[in-house]
Parts: sequence; C-alpha cells; structure tokens
Amino acid sequence: MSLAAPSSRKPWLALVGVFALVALVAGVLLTDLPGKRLLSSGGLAGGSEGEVAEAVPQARWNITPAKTMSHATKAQSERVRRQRPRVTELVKSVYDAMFVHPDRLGATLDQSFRTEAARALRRSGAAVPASGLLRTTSRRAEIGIHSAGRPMFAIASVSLKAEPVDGSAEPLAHSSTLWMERSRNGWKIIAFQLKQGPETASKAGKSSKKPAKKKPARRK
Amino acid sequence: MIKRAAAIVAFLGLVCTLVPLVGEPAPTQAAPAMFGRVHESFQPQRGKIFVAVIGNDARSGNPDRALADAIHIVGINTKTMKAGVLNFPRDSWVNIPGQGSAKMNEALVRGGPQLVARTLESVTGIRIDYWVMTGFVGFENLIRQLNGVKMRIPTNVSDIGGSGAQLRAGVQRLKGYEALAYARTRKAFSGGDVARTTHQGDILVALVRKLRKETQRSPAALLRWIDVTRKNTRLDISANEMFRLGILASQVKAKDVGNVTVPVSLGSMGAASVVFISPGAHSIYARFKKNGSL
Repeated sequence: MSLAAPSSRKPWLALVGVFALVALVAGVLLTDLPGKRLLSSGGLAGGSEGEVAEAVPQARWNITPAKTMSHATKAQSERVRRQRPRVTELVKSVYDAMFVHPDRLGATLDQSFRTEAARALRRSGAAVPASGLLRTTSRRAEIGIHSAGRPMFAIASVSLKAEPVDGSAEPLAHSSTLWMERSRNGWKIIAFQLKQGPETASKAGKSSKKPAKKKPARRK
Repeated sequence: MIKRAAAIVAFLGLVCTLVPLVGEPAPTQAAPAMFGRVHESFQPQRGKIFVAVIGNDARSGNPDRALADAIHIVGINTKTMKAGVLNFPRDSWVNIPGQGSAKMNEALVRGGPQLVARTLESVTGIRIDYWVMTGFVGFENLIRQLNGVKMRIPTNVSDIGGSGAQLRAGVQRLKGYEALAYARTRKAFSGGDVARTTHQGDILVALVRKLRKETQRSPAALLRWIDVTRKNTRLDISANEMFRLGILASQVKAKDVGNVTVPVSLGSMGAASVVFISPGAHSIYARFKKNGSL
C-alpha cells in the first residue's frame, strides 16, 4: 500500500507543476508585452538632434488620475490599475515626440494614433513645434481610465509650457485632450483636440476675459 | 495526504484560470435604460447621426412592451457640431409599420423600441441609427447619479395629484425625482401633452449643456457619464460606439441644439382623443434630415 502511493502521486504533481509554469509564462506575457511595445513606440533618437535634445533639461511630468467610476468592482479597479502605466507612457511618448524629440513624431503618430487621427494631426501641423530645441517648463496631465468590461477607454487632458532653448521665439502654451481606446494592438488615440499659442497671448486672453471691476461712476 | 493536497491545488489553479475568462457576472436586474441599434450596419449619413430617445411609462424596470410617454429624435451633425431635438406628442395619430394607424405610443407595446424607431422613420423619412430607452426609475437614477440637472422652469408648476411636481419658475438644479416629475407633468400646462413633450426636450438640451460644461472643466468627466449611463443601461451597441457618441455629444454647445415640437392639431379617433401631426411638419423633417440639426 505504502509502496503504491508514490507512483499515483507523481502524475498529479507533474500536472500541478506544468500548470503553474504555464500560468506563470502566460501572466508574464499578458502583463508585459503591450508595455514593452509602448516603450519602444517612439523609437530611439538616432540622430545627433536626439542626443542634443536628451541633454536639454525638461520639466517633470505632473500626472494626476481622474475619477471615472463611482462604484468600480474589484475587477474593474484591477484592470484600470494595470493599464494606468501603459496609458501614462503613451501620453508621455506623444508629447515627448511633439516637443522634445520631433524626429520621433512620425513613428509615434503611426504607432499611437488611429490612422484618421494621425492624418488629422499631420494636416493641422499645430502640434509640430517651431524649428529648434524646446525646453518644457511645465508638463501636467490628468488621465482618466474607464473599464467597460473588456473594452477600455481613457481620456487625457494635458497642459504644457515650453520655451526655445536659444530664446529665439516666445514661450509656448499648449493644452490638449486625447481620447483613447484600447484595442488588440494596445492603446490608440482615436481623437484629439488641441490649443496652442504664445504663452503671453494666452495670458492676455485670460486677463481680457475677466476685466478688472471698475467702480461705478458717481453722479454729480 | 499529498495526493489530496495536490488535488486541492490543481482545483484552485483551474478556478483561478477560468474565473477571469468568464468575466464579470451579468447584471441580473432589469436595466432601467436600454440603448440599441436600429439597423444591422451603422452607416453615418454624411456626418449626421439620429437617435430615437424613448421614455416608457413603466414604474419599475424597463420592459420592452410598455407605452411610450416620451418620444424624441435627437440628431447631431458631426461636421457643424450642431444638433436638434424633435419632439413628438405621445398621442400623435400615425401609421405604425405593419400595424395600421394608432397612437404613436402604442408602437412600443406592439413591437418594442425597434418599432418606435421604425415608426419615426416612416413618419419623418429620417433614418434612425440608434435608440435609447428609459423608464421612470432609470431616468430618475440617471439624473440623480449625475448630481441633478440645472434648467430654467418657465412657470410655476404644481401637479401634486398627478406627477407630484411642485416647482417654482426660474433657473434651478432639479434632483432626480424633480426632473422625472417635471418630465411627466402635463395637466398643469394649458398645452397639455404638447407642452410636456417640449419640456422633455428642454431636459435633453439641459443634459447636453451639463455634459459640455463638465467635460470642458475636465474632459475625463465623459467617462463618469458613460459609467452612469452603463450602470443604468442594457447595451445593445458596442461600448466603443457609445464612447464615440459620447465624444461627439460632449462637443456640442447647448445653444446649438434646437428644441422643436412637431406642430399638431387636436382631434379624436373614436372615443380616443388624439393629435394629428400638421402637414407643416414635413418641412421640419426635411430640414432636420438635411442638416442633422434644428
């Protein structure tokens, strides 16, 4: 009896071992692959321009999450938690390509935008900064992610300030919204809206909206 | 002992693998609002999208077969970003496809929201892309979970015996139950059902204003709107389509949304009092169909 037992245990143990191994490999694949894809979305700055751009100190990203679900289930929260780094990386890579590494813009558009959205951004030309290196002085983003079961959506509102390194032009103020969907190929930007102009103009615009209150003229 | 332990581990492993594949359990309660597609293939009509918005008279749940108390077509022109709400009194005497002539609200009893959409198509000649339906509970919950809706009430409203509405004239934020009561009130107005359907359109415009305002402040607010809608909704369209519709709707300014009620004349058909849609409505349909806005 005692001799027969070990021979019946072995298949079970082998099954458990194989199962654990498969689960481990699947888990690693599922969690890591899209992230790696995103990290390489911009490609490496190959030219000297990329190297110089790396040397320019850039503002740190200030990224805050937006509340998007009132009573999320554990599964939804977990899905959102898992996707947050990927969406954040996507947003960062897009704005890095727009303002810090213009040489990466083409690749980033192809990889991160839906075809129509990429075409629209190219057509607008608004996101492409003036020639020369830019130093970002402020980079803020609010990112909301929603999980509707398997389909997931995200919205990022980004505001950014930058100035040319050589001081050849006025500082720039940029604010935009990105609407993103998660597809089989990872996160894609399906629509965007952006506003960009000289920082002084936007400040003037703000001040003109709220004129200083004047005291009512006294009647004589 | 080892054999038993191995069996337990294997069982737990199997459960851990299969449960994520099953996904979240489907909601068991009847969804208070439903959202669906009218045609099998969605074809944007040259940048215009039309949605049938239906409110049924079910006090609880959201049954397919109830009477429609609110019937509207909401149109959005995706190029001009202008929109329109076309309101139909529920007692409008119309031809229901395959059912003969009857009050428009009976289309819901006879063939569900799909038939209401088909009826609207046959009356107006406008191709409806989607329908959305809600009941009393769904509507109240939607407004409550969106923290109320701010709108202007044109006159004092008191309908305690009927809808329960008791509102003062002026701009105010309506809570869920107040919005529902206002949307139901007809006896307090001289215009009766026609005034009621116009007020329902006002609420839709107020919701567009609220959505726009909140998404201007924080674009991610759209995701909360989608969440609230989904929680009170049985979805027959893909979540992606809903997201895209939401993006569109959030770009529309309330001042660019026309709220028009079809012109009608009062009448009777047998013992039933009905309203007849005036021939003048055809020019409104043609304009709406052409522009996607009013």
